[in-house]
Amino acid sequence: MIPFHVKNRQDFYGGLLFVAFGVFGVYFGRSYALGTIIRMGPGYLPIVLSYALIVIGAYISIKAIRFGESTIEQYRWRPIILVLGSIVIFAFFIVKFGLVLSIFLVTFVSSFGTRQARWMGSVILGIFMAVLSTFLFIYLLGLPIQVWPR
Amino acid sequence: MTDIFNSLALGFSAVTTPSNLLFCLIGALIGTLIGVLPGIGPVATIAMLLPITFGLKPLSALIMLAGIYYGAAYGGSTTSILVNLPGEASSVVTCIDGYRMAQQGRAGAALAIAALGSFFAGCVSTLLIALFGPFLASFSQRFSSPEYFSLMVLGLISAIVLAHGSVIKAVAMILLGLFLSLIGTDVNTGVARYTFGIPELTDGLGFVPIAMGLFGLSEIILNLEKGQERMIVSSKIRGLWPTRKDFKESWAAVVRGTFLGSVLGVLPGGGAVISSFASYTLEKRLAKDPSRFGKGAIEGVAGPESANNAGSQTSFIPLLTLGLPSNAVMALMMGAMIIQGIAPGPGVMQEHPDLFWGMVASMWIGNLMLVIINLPLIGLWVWLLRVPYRFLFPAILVFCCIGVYSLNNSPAEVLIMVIFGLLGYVFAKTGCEGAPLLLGFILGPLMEENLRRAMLISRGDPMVFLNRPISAVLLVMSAVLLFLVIFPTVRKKREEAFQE
Repeated sequence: MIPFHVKNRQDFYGGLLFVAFGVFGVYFGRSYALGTIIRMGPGYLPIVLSYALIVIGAYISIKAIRFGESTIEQYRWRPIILVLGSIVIFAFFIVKFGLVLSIFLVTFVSSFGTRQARWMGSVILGIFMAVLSTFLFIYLLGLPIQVWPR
Repeated sequence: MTDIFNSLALGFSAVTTPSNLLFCLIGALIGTLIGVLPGIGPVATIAMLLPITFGLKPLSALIMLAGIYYGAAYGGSTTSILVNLPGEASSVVTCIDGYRMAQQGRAGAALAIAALGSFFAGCVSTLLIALFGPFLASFSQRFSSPEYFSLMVLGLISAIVLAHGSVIKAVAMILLGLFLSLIGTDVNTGVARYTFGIPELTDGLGFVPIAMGLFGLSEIILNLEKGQERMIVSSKIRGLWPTRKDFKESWAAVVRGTFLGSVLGVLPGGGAVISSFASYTLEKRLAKDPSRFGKGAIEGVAGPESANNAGSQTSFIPLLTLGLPSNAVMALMMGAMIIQGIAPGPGVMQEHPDLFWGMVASMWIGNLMLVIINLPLIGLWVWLLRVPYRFLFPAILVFCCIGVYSLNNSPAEVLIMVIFGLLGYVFAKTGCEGAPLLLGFILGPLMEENLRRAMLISRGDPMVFLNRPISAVLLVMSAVLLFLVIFPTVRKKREEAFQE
């Protein structure tokens, strides 16, 4: 991905991440009034912090090319997508379809984040969690959440 | 002195209502539970349970949340000793000698010493809070904006010094946390910053979704990635009571651990984790025969376990007296207080004496409960460990979802949690720690407000921070700390300390 050899890969990518946040901050913060040091405007601190992030991030990355030693551990898409995906499903389902169905889906989908999951087991776990959380959060704690699809 | 006893009496009378005792027990039990279970820590748990506490009275809510924190320090030791699995980072070092003791058939002694040492530490640190709390609070009443700003600088710098791993990355994480805290409507001008027209962002990012994403979700993904199921070693526990020799060998370690933990807990960035590591190092240095360590030395259990409990409790001191959270858990406690309508800081003791002293008293009661309850319940905790992670993590996810959603019934906050879950995962892969970010995020708005106000007072003269004595001392301390970290020899020492 990068045309040169990086010794400290963790720091290199970490630094780039900070630079990215800094650039984001400067770019989208460009319209906020800076003000003066006596009367700081809304943009003063965000811009200062963004530039600081860029400088520090760049320093971390550049230093990482030559110094230190680390690699990014192997990552696997399966748990990332299924765990985060199941919660995204929850976010889009909860208002319209209610707690029971949303919880079932979170449990069912996320359980496949590991390879040991079996269809039947996941269905049962999903039903169990849906019942448990409805009992716990709706009947016991009385949270004002839609239970069934509307 | 009589003042303190009167105040403590007030605290005990506030706590010893049936419902408060119940919440203390619930908190301590949940804390022990998550302490036992690897893969979920006190930060994520407190974030998860926070929404549930909104309906409670402030004191009940804080008692329960505090119980989770020190309960976790207790529970973490159980699994470290019995199955060589630290349930909590604060009990990692306990594995070294604790598990060895269990293998030698001395599990009972190790567990009992850990519990008794923790209880002793809990008693001492409760007293310390009672003694030093009022003093610090009255001292900090002289603070105005410049002092508060400098104090927070000191807090953040110490968080950097005491953080594991790279110093410069910790600095960057704090800056990022500060930056994220600025998202939302600017208090002074009403300008919406970085909201992109999304209505949910006008009030700023919530710290619950951030904490849950950074510490809860990313942890789950990382655990799944490693993919190994826990194995349970079933070792019979024989004879719970330590021998006379065990006591003789460990009492000094308990006292030293308590002292060390109490001091490190107060420091910003400190708390349970660093206290236990420091205590282990200290015990090994002081031992006549250091080679015993790693082979079942009881001091290696007694010291760290006392230290982590002392540290987890004294870290309440800066929060309750200065309004300065010293670690991620305290940042969450601060959030809980703010949501309950209590401004953390020196005012707490005067405006809500029952709350302050009630919390102090609840810690002592909670510790007592933990000692009494935990030893008989060890069997149950070990049995719980047999629940495979593949059933556990979907349940944790469900609690995260409902926890965040129930804050404001807002799906957007659930999505924010997802984003921070992903970010937390990337941070973990790049070796960046989440705790400094959360500290920066919590302190950000306060720092901005105090900085702006200080600049207004002084008409833009930055010397205001140095002309005022208290502020100057705080800043000099920050500078010295920062210098020490950057200075190579000290840095090497620090790395050594973390290595061990």
